[in-house]
Amino acid sequence: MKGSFGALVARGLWRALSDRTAIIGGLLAVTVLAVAGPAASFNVFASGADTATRAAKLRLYGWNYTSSFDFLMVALGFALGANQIAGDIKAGTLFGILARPVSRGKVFLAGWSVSALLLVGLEIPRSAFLIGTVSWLEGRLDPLHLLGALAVVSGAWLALASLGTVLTPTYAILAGLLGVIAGNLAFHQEIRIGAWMLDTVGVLLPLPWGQERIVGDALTGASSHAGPIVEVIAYRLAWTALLLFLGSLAFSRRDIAPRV
Amino acid sequence: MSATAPVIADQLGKDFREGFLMRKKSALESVSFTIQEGEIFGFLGPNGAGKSTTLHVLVGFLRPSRGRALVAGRSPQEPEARRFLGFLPEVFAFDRFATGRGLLRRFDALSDRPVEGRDERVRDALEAVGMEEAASRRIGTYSKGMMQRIGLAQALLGDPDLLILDEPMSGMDPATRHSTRKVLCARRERGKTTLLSSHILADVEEVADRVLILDRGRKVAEGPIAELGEARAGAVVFRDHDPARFDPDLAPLGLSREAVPGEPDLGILRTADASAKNAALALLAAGGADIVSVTPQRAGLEEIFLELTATKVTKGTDLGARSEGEGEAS
Repeated sequence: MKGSFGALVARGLWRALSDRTAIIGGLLAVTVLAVAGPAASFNVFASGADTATRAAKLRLYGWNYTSSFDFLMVALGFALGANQIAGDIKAGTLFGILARPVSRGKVFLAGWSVSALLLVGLEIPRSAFLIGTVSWLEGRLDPLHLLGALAVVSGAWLALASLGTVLTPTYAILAGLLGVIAGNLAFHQEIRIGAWMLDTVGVLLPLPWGQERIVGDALTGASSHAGPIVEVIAYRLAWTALLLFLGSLAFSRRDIAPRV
Repeated sequence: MSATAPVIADQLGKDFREGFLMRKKSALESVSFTIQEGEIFGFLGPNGAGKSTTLHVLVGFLRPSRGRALVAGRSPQEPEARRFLGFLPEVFAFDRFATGRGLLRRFDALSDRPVEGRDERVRDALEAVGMEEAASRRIGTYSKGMMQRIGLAQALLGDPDLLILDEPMSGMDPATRHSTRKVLCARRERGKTTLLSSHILADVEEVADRVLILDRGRKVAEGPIAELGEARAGAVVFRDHDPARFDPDLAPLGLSREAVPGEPDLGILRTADASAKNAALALLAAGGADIVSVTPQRAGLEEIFLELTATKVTKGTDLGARSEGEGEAS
């Protein structure tokens, strides 16, 4: 990343990682995962099953045992990154930045990007351990396994974008209404795209059950078709982009000035 | 910077919503002014007058409710308008864990300036405020005066064409204030523009080419300090064996004679009205009085300021109490 956006993201990362609470929270989360993964694999390896069964069980247990981390990950990402804009306004540190030739949209997107990068950082230990171990056992890398992990991350990104846009209520309401309208249209017309559209009502609850099943199947190896998981990833990324656009638009139009 | 004036405010107005019922409160009412290139423009007013609101509109923090503002010929909301602008807010904070030098380097990067020359730009800004020695220290360890200086340094970074300063001298010791005034004057010599809002009238009086005085969101005066002062007072000193004999003739002119303690032969007439002054001079000459001096007495900035804004004080309204209630809008 170059220029002012790169400088904003670098500053945001540096600021988030300078926070003692953030460091402790992040370390705790990574530690939990570091323990949970081997704990899940210990049972599998102790079961005496053959290699193929071990790999299948590890995928199943590994992801299921650590699924509660998905929510923790979003909360941590938001606390460490997205919330930094509000923190910057409260502390007064944002105004030196806003007085520079930087668009508000860039500032908003940089705040989200910091959270998104931190989320990826938090997710890497779990995904690397599970995907790496299963691939080693199976002797091959299953692309669906990778796509499943990407779907988890994109779900967390969507959650972050939703939280960021909720901070700008008008646009959150607009996004919610759009989601409801699109969902209803899709439900009554029963079109192919309906499966995605129906889930749009859950845009403010960004891990709707319909998608979670598809993601779960990809992660645990219950599905061998790439189509549904690719659709889920595309849906999540598209809604993330829309919410970020609405959020940055709202942030750009807000009156933000130091309290004197 | 473009050929247009660095700052144009045209009928600028700003409303805020307050309280549970979101009642509208006007902080600025139809304020117009133009700042020319290369001038130091003083921005004055009591607390709650709308000074900071105006500055925040000019920097793009706030959107005007009415009228328009142009900075370098552009809307302040456009990032490009801030490319040649340096701003020091009245209330600010910087990342406590950053060093002074690190902060300036980061702000330089945020301004999309090339990496080449960054060290020189940072060094120049630090030198301008005398912060070279403390540049490697963390900002969290700075005193209030040092914070103010590093704040000024970030505003001066890259030698911007337009500098907007909101209470820059607050918390500075006399020597730093002096050197800051020198920095501003040196910028003027290079054709750079400064908008200086300050409560320290002596500083503004010393450096400003023109001032604008705001009160309760409205412009009450604008112009060079000398002109504002000249319009306010002039004195005629005369000598006569009985100065009081002119009193009945002076009264219709709206003039009243002041006595000089210990000098019963002297009388002083003060007026800002040129025709009244000339009529009085003719009257005194015709009556055989000796005109000792005719002095254009220029009022100082403080006198002008108090005269234009202090009616509230004389009527018993406490400006301090008013500022607390209206602080957010100022």
